[in-house]
Amino acid sequence: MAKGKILVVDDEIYIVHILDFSLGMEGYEVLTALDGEQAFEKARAEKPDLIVLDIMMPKLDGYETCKLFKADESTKHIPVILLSAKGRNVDQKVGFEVGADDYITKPFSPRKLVERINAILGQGSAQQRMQA
Amino acid sequence: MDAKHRGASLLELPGEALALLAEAVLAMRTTGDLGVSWGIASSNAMRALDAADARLLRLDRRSGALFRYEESGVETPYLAEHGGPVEWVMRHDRAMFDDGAAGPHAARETLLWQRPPQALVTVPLEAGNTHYGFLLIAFDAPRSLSAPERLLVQALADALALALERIDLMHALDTERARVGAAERKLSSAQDAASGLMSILAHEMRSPLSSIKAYAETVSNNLDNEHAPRRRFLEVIDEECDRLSGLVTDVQDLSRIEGGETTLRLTAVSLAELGRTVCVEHSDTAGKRDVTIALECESDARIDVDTALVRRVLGNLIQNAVQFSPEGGTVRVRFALRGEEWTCSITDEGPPLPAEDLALVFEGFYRARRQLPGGQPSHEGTRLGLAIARSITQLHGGRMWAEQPHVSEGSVQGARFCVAMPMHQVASTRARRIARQTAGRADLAELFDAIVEMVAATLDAGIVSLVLVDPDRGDLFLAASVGLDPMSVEGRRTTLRSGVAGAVAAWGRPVLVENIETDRRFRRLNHPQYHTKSLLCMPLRVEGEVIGVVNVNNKLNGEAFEEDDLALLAMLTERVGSAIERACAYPDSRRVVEDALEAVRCMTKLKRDFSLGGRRQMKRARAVARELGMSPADVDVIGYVASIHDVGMVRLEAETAHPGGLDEKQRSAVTAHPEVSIEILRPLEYLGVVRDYILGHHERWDGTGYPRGLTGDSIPLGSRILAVVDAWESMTTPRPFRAPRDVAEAAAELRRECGRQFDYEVVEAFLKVLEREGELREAA
Repeated sequence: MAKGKILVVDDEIYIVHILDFSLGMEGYEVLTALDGEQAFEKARAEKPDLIVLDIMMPKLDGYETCKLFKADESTKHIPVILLSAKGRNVDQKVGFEVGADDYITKPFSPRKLVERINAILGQGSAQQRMQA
Repeated sequence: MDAKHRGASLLELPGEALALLAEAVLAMRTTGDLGVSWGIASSNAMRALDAADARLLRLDRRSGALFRYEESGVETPYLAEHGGPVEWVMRHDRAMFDDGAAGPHAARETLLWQRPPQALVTVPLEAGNTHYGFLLIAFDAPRSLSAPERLLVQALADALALALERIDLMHALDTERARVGAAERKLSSAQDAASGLMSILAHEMRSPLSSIKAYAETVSNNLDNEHAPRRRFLEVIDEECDRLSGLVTDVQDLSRIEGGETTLRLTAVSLAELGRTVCVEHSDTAGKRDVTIALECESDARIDVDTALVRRVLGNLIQNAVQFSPEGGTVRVRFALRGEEWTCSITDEGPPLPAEDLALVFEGFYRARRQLPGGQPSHEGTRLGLAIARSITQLHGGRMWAEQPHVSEGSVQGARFCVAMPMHQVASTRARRIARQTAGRADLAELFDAIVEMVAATLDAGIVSLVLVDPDRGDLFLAASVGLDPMSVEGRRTTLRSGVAGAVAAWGRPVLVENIETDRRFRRLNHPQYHTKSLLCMPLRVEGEVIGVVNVNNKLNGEAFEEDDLALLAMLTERVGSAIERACAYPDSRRVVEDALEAVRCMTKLKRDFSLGGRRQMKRARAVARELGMSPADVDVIGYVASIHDVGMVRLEAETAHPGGLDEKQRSAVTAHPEVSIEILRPLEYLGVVRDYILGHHERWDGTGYPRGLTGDSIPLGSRILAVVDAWESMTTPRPFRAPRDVAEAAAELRRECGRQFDYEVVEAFLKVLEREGELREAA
């Protein structure tokens, strides 16, 4: 039984692979996309529980993609964790402006990312339980 | 140091020698002035070793040229003797102790010494792995140095090397200060660009670091997990480390190339061979993605390139193309010649390259908006690859661009990257080394001024310039000119290379442009100064290398230049080249340049003050020689001799300008002029046949001429032609003491003198030429 469905978006194929492995080991079902457009398609079709999104990508970058998610009725509620090689506060600020829920700088620890995801999803499911 | 004296100690030296050594080393440590320290070091070394003389040769590291360093601080260029000790030491990188056993005539850099040494010590001067020059110590008699003595020499050499290193650093510091001054103005904008580049670089480095960290952590968390592909994870870490170090290398290389620190090591390679090598190099990586590299090579012409760098250019482009190719696709690599350039185009079948990106792809860290096919890692090679390729191409004076290949109407597929570089480079390392020896010599500067003056006078040109290779930068600069507005010369430097002169220097072939506005090769707006639009451009060769270009513009009568003019310019330029060659071979002899200068000045005077050997005579002499079936090379020689053979008259100035007859003294002076001509031209002339023609041009067919009284066929044919051409010229043009004759009369006179003064065949050929040119018609 999968704990949840997570969409990983990065143009660096190795990062996609390692997150696929780490989150898979943790019991998540992992979907992957190599660019923003592909990610948006998959998100609308598969309705993941969380999206891990790289900022520096060709064509549509992470900010733009995030805006798309947040503007679309069917995906706006999905939490987004931005991944970026840029560690500056400016990026973080822009990240939150476009509606991202969390922000992790590269290089990152896969274990810590998994912990964050667990925390966010755990919190999310707790809220849902209270509403129920 | 040699194995022989490893066990030796300086302490075995006599006390006096030790004291001298200590004094020399101390002097070099305390004095900032190399001249002073060299003075002390050399005299102490000579005393300690009982040597006859010592020399310091400084090696200029950028140009590779040697300079003889004098105590006064003056440096003169020096060319190492072929097969001599300096060459040997340079090649073997260790000291040479020539004890004199090879005999008194062994190669010992003869030109450095007043008396040829009988034994010679040659030691390389090295500090911090850098070569700064040579120390040479000469002995009057055969002499074998003991091991401690060799140590002494080595200690002295080390101290000298350190002193040279210090001077080098000071020099670098000065240049750097000057550069900083100039750079500060540009700084603010450059800073923005640099910080932009740095932040992208930081990002570029963080990507592989992210992977490394993520994979390393995952491996260590999964040490006991047999299901984790740990080996694959480690492989990824390894790959990403390689990528990171590749990035560092690329950044270093790019900054080196763009900072102008890279100099080309040019070699001649065949285009076909270059193509094959590059394609084979990358067929493995291509094969992994099932991509075929198809090579097509139209030519196997030889081209001048820095092979290692150009292989990198083509490699980067091919790698890029392979990366974007679909599986099973083909990368087409096509080499061709286009005019004086060689080109290579590399076409892939990948996704289209957006039109707006065509110019952007070469910027450092351009992030392709082209979609990479099917989930491959996006980083084979770094994103600096194209930027580096373009920098290297520009360093070769070439261009690089991207285009969209034409597929069926309207649809765009794939991308094509093209390189075009000149087949031959302006300044080979050797040419720069030669140019280095001419740089900064005041006597040569004077000679260059005289040369442009002489060429202008000889070819009736309004503007002549001499452009030389800059030994430091490898481009061209204006060394001397006549008729150019000095204001407009400022800043021409950059345009020289891209203009006609640059092309001629690179091709190594002369150019005759009849009309610059319509010439297919150089079509461009005519500069207002060059109102005739016609020009000649001739490469100047020294020791076979193109070290400059002679440009001739603006024929004074407004006509276009002709092949005859080009041929004459070629002969003149060859002689200029040989004079420079000699000046470089004997840098210490003032005579060499002074004699050449005198010859060149006499040639100018001959045209300006005596109006002798004009272009008309030159052209007629060439035409007659052609008419008589002489070879093109002989025709060129005759034209040249016709132009300068009377140069001896310049020395006889006062005697000949009188109207009326000549007295005995004047007559003997005039009859000596062929010999005087030869004497004047000797420093420029290397062809015996030129001397023979000049010497014989006042001989007569019947043996009553001067100076040798030759008869008939024993007079060189060239001389016989000159005699007829000269006679015609003097009969038909006004002279101070004689009215001109009309053409019919002159022609009759020539015919009458056949068999007496002139050769019948030559006269016939001459009249035929005149007939054809329409010069006899007005008389008929």
